[in-house]
Amino acid sequence: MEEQYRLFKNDLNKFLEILRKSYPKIIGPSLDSEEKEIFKEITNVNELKLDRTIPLKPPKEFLFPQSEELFKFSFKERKFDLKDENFFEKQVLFALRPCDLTAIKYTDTFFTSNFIDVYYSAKRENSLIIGIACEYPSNKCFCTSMGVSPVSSKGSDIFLTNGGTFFLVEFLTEKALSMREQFAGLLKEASLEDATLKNRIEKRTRSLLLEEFDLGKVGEGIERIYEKEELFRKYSDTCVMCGACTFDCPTCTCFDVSDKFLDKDSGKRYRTWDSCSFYNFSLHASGYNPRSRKVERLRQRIMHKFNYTVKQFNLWSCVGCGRCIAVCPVGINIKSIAKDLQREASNENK
Amino acid sequence: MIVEIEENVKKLLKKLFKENDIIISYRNSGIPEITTPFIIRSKNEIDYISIDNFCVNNLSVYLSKFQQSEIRMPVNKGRVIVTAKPCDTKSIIQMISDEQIDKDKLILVVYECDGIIDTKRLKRVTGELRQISVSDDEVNFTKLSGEDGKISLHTVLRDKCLEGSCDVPYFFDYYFVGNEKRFKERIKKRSRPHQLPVQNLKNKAELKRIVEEELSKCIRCNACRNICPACFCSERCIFDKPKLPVGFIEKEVNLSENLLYHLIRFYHVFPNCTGCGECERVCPQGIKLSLFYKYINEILVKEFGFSAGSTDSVRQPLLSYRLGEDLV
Repeated sequence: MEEQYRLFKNDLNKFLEILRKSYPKIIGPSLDSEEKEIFKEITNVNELKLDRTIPLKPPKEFLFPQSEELFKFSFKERKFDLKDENFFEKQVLFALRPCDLTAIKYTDTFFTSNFIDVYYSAKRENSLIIGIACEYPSNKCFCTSMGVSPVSSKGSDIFLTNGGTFFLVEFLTEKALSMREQFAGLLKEASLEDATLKNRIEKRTRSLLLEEFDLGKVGEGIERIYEKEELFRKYSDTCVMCGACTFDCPTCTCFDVSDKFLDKDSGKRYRTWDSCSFYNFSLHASGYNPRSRKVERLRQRIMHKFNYTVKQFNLWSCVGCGRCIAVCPVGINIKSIAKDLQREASNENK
Repeated sequence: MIVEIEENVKKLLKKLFKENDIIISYRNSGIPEITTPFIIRSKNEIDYISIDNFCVNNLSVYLSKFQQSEIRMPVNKGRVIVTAKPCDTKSIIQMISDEQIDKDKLILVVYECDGIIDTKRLKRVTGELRQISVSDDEVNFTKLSGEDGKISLHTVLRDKCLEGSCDVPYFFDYYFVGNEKRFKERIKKRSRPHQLPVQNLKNKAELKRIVEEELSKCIRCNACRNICPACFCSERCIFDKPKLPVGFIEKEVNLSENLLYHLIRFYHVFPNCTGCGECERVCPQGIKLSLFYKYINEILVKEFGFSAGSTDSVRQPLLSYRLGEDLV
């Protein structure tokens, strides 16, 4: 078992101040001017809001920004020049829930397995991830059905569990352990009953979830239901093909690379998020579009979440955060789709 | 929603439905406070229809020619039957006026609506919900923690419903009313004067500040464009047209590109904007889009005496002229 310490909530500000010495930017859950949950830079401990549901926009943008400059190019006096002016400030992603931690584990795999994405990796190496056990699920959450425990610390460097007047702190990686000395004055010994704290919270959070279902081996039968278009049509019929679900998804990593000329002989290359919902996403230069109908585009998204990445990385790329349900303009419920697929897949397997 | 209405609507639909017809209505999504649009192709699906106080979507978006081709509506054979709230009929009228809908193939079933719940407002009051039901003017709910509670429907309605501009449907084939007396009382209780929240937009510096503040939040997910019943170009939309070497608009998300996106959309859409408020509702970033549309619509009413969706016989002022008309 990892070593656990108590960090009293009165000391949280000091804890953040010490963090700030090594990581100047601290990003955590807070509220915007309209009292909506949002991840933003925290300058004062009072801005932190830890007793809300997850912010609608995931912390993905701090590792993989929506628009990101890759390099500048210029062609002057018959000389071609490339310049990479990227600079990453060290940052802490504070109080991410297990769903977002799992999502970061997935994006780590995506951006570093077949190729090393230098832009993502540079940000990732400069980030310290602090997780927190989830006590405030929404009625759209289904993490446990996707195999994510609400108290899972996987993917974090430091993990916090709320114990009322204190946080139970675990240091999980080398990156975090090397900092432990600096917090020495703040960390108090954990008591015996703290050992069961996580279990108690897990039980309570699970009881708050609207539903739990077993996706079983949905990945296996799903290939045979690929052709069953009417299954996807039930949902794609009402889909309006915006990109809200993919932009607010913590694991959607598709991007598009474009060039922009800043003047006649120089410019920059940048990348932006893209979405499989968009008609242009799969449009070929010839004008042919293999996914021209919306049922094909919705199927792509669903299959990518529940099947393709299982084959590729042995990971589901859905973490059950429920953000796509909350953001969907027409209320498409990915839980129902997953359950439908599972039912059909198991019928096919028989 | 009034219980009898749902039953009566279903009964009527069963009677109306013929082969090749399509019904556009609502069903439960599996989340207590979300009712989702529902496209019906066979008679036995009619039983799954659910009409309640969460039917927030303006279904007229599915009537555009683009959407019809996407969901393979039987353009030549069948009819399209759509259930609509009185406020949504405005959008449908405007689409008929803009020649987007074949009036002869459309059957419009309108029902009395006692107000749609604003889920963001509801969440602020009740927190996360396990169950919710509305009877008369009372909302009964169970929180995720199992705790029960009730509140008055009036306190969680959308602003639009509180303004009470929805009492008379402008156009319909069938109109269901629950109890006329009760309905009138309810409307009276709800009505509060229509406010223009944009007085300060008249100040140019303030307008600039608000525009910049709001539009810099945009992530260009296209939700506002795609949900908008007045925005019916879809596949031929200027933003989707690939133009080499780069598109009409840069993919980069920053204030200047966002401004271009919203300004173009604004100029395309405002004359047929009926103020349904869908763009603002669906925005994941919470941009107050209807602020700008409301503002310009007030001007349209004042200068041209035109309000989109009020009639299908008058062309919108920016697309038509009368002989002998003064040049502005």
